[in-house]
Amino acid sequence: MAKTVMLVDDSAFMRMIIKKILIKNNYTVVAEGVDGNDGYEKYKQNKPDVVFMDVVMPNLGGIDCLKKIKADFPDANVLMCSSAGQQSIVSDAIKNGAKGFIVKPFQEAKILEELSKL
Amino acid sequence: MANEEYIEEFIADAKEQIENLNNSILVLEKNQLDKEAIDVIFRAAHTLKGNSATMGFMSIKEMMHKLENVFDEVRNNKVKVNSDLIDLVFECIDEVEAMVDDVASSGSEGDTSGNAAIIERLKQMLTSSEVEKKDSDGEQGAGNKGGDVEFNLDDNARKKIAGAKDKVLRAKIVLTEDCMFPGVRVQLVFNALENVCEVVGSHPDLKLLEEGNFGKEFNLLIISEEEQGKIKKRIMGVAEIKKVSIEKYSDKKAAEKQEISKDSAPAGGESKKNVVQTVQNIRVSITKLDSLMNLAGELVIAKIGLDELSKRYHISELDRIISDIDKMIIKLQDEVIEARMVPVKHIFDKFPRMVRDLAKKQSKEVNFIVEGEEITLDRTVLDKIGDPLVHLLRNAVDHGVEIPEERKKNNKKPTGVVKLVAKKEKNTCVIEISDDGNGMNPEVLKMTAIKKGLITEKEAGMMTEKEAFNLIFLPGFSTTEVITDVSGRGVGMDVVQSTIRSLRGTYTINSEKDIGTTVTLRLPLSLAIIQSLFFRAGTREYAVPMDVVNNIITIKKSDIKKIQNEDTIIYRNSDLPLFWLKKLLCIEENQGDEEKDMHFVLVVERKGEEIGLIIDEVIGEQHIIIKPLENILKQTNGFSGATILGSGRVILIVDVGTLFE
Repeated sequence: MAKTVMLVDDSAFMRMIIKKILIKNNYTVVAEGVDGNDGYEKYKQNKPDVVFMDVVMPNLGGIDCLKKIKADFPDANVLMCSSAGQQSIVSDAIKNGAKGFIVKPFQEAKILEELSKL
Repeated sequence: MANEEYIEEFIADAKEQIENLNNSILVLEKNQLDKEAIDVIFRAAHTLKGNSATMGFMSIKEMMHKLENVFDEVRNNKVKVNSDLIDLVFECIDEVEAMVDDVASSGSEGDTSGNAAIIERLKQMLTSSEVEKKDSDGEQGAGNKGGDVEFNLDDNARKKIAGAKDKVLRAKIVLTEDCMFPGVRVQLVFNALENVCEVVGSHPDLKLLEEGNFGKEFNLLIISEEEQGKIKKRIMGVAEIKKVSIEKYSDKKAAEKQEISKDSAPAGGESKKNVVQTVQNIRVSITKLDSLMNLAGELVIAKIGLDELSKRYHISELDRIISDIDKMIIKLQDEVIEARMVPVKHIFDKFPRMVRDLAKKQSKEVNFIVEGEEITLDRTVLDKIGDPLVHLLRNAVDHGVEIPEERKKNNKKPTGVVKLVAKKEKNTCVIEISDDGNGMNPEVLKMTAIKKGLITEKEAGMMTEKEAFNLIFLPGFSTTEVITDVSGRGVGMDVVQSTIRSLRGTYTINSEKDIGTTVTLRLPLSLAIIQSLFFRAGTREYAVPMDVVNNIITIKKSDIKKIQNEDTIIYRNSDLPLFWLKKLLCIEENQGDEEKDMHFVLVVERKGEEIGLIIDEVIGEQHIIIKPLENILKQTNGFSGATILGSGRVILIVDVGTLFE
């Protein structure tokens, strides 16, 4: 079961929202990335069990970061964090190996459900 | 999820996004094709939309949603950036900022009556052909009540089904009521079945499924070697699936039917052991840091006490311990000081927008240049210099930079330059505000001051150029005839002066006709702990911050010359006015000092000019914690505070700025 989690989101607020939920449920947030580049580097360093990946980020977006991680680590578990209205982007992410997704505004139950399915 | 504990973080993040919006729209105003700026605006609007929706601030969400849509089209070259759009975005940012401010002060978005008009105008920016993007997908579509469904099969599929006989299964999959992006869930179900099943048909048709254009349930016709139970498990492995039932598919009604209700097992239920939580950043209130700083200060005082004890009783072992404590205290102080440091960017960021608005209002063209944003300052200092900087920048635009026609007449470029530069020099932070405008005229300043009764004509006659420039800091001084709503009310500059002084900072003004004006502020990097020089004047001991002492020299009494009845000495090839500190402070003469021929002089700066303060003895240097003077002592000129020595003795800290008032 997934235990260690990494959050990649340029919004500190969003990271905090997810982090509080995760910590409350005994997950360990091992790293946080502020954009796709940072996320990729931190993935390499930390090899978390699962990554929550925002879609829209500066420098390197979520889809591109997902592709980069998947290319080097085919077994990576990446869950996309999307907004309403981004169905086609999330669909694209699934085609590129994302294991699931959550939609803002995030709900605790949904986050835990996605994690339990990994 | 509106929740107290999140609100602070929400506001901090919102402010950051607003800053991003402001900065990028300024860039876009200069270059309407700047792709990076367009992207930043899109992302900032998108992020703020999501954050505010999470917090339940729907008015902010709505506004940002529209802005995001517009900039999505800008990104895709469907909408062109023009000055109308830029002005609209400015208005939009202001409105959102006001709402965020209201959230910060009252917890709600406040007055949102102005929103509808802006939203409507944003809507109009969208290309007419483009149907506005829906905020939630896949709510409508062909509902399916289950039971008997007719699969739309082609010949190829029929052939496969005929060949597979009893390995053909029909899976009925029901999504949860609140499932988002059902089309993507379908995709994930297909992924889950990959390699073990072949999906030969679906109801509704595959195209509708992929688009998410169906109700909450769908059917798949699959051929598989695997047991039904295992297939169910695979499908249930996708989130947001409420129910899966699988039966053998035949032309007749299926016989076997199984249902598995969703067994929601939240993760991490059983293992609560040894969970390490890594937290990288936390927010600490400034008051906590203040009290930490105070404690570090008290520690210094306690240590000095220990020091004196050790000296009195000659305990060498104690000395070693004290020296260890000393090192740790210095480290502790450094850490606390470091924790309080914030880049000036935090306040500089709001200025480009302000300067832009100001210039536009007065039909001036201003190129605003900011340098040294990364320089850090103590949080308390930073919080206080915001307003003075606003004033100085307003003055630069308002009084400094001329209108384009006038600049052209003077052979200047029509666009004026206003610069805001921060840099580190020794133990101080230097902030320069400069413009390339018409400069200040010392004669006009003097005339105005005389007219307003602030100085006499005789005083004016004796004034140097620099002293004349400093007149603008006098309360009640204002040179512009017309009082605008942005500057020139004559109350601002003396506030600037008192703020800078309260921070133990100094300021100088340089101005040249038609070249421009530069105001230079020198601010201490930290407020609470300073390196000070201890000295004696007459019978008393005092301290003075080291950063105001330019030099310490010794002079012979016989070197002192009288110029216009004032004591001076030649220092670095020019006349240095001398003042006896004990006379200024009315302190009794210490016995024995009278006969001495050698005297110490502290060379310090006063209103931009060097002067010498004659003292009787230099005692030494030490880190001290400044305690402000309270109550009636607050008004005392000549002293900026006091410090308590380990022995309990109170030493006053001399303030050169107010010594002569």
